[in-house]
Amino acid sequence: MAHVNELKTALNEEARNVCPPPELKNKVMSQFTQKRNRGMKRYVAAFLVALFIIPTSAFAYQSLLADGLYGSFANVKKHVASATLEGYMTFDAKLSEAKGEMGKEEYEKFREALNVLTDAKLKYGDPFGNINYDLMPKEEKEKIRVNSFVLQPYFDKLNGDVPSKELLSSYEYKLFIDALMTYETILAKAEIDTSKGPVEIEKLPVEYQEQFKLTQNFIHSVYQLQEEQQQ
Amino acid sequence: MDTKTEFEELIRRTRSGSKHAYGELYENTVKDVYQTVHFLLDDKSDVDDVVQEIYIEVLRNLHRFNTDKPFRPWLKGIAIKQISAYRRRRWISFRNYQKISKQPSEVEDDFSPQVVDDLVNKQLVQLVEQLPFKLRQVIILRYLNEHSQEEVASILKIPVGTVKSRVHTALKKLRKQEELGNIFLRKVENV
Repeated sequence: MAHVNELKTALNEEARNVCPPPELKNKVMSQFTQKRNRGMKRYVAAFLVALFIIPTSAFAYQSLLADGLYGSFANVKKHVASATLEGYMTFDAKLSEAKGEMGKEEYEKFREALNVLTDAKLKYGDPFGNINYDLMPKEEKEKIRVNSFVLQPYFDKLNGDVPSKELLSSYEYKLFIDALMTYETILAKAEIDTSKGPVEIEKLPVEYQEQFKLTQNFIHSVYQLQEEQQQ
Repeated sequence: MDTKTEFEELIRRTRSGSKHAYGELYENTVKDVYQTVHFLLDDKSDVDDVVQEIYIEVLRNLHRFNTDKPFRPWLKGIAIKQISAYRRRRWISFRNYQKISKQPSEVEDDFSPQVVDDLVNKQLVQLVEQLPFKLRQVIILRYLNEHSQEEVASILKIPVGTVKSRVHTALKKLRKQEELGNIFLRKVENV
């Protein structure tokens, strides 16, 4: 088709003069730096949340709502060396908030699911409240996994995030839950004290680094997605 | 030149935080993206901004890219999405309107054969730029970027049949416009 060839020639001729200006690269690259920094901040926040909610679910409580799950702070302290009263109280506050926000029935459901997790934390958690799920009996692990599918939407809600379950496909959501468990497993294996702030990859044993990075990236990308949806 | 594996490596490194890899990814793809945006935007002074937005989106979404698939069509899909978003934001901007109404006056000066050739090219490009956006998209993707019909379909998220019919309609429109334009040109030559 002569006409099509003409068209191609015309477009290509014209395109020869169309080149990205060199300074555009600087602009684009500066976005890279900004984006990563922003991401890291979010990650730190997410990490704190993980401390307060997930492992904190290992920290918590009774006359205080938290004590209903854990017996008492003293009991938690016995199992989880890094538990702090502050973390315990924060968890309690979170639970109160949950109670206020959710209907009675929903709250009961939430507590029930949380109970499964906190029991596991006390039974299998390391001194920092992290579980090495690889060491758990297979059935127990599956129970926790299924339980997490139920719990995560509540955590998202308490964290004020767009529910990950809605953002992700069901396959991606499963991956996300698995990633959260893998993340915790690596921390437990590496005996990392997660109360000391964000985990530095370099401080992990080399054999865990690559897997940890992959897992972390994935979890991070879900948080990022939640953040974008919120804007 | 199938650069799939090369992209795969760059993507992997970018994902794990390498700025350098991202820079290379940019270098290897920007010309193509830039030209596409150039032809699909009416206001060329916004091309840089849109390209920048596209690369922000790439960074944001790179974790979702399936490395089993070719990278360029995926990238082009993001580009098209950003261009459409831009158009939505500015679809009735006064500046655009002004530019379009000024366009015909660009064709002037003398008429040596080379110039006439250039003129025909320019005129053709101008006709392409005046096509409705949906038609212009397929023409640019198909004949400037040389994507296959299937790739165009996946980039625009429309059926292949729709791509075919749009290409067909666009070519028909161009032919018709061109005939009118040629008459105009010949008239000028005869003066």
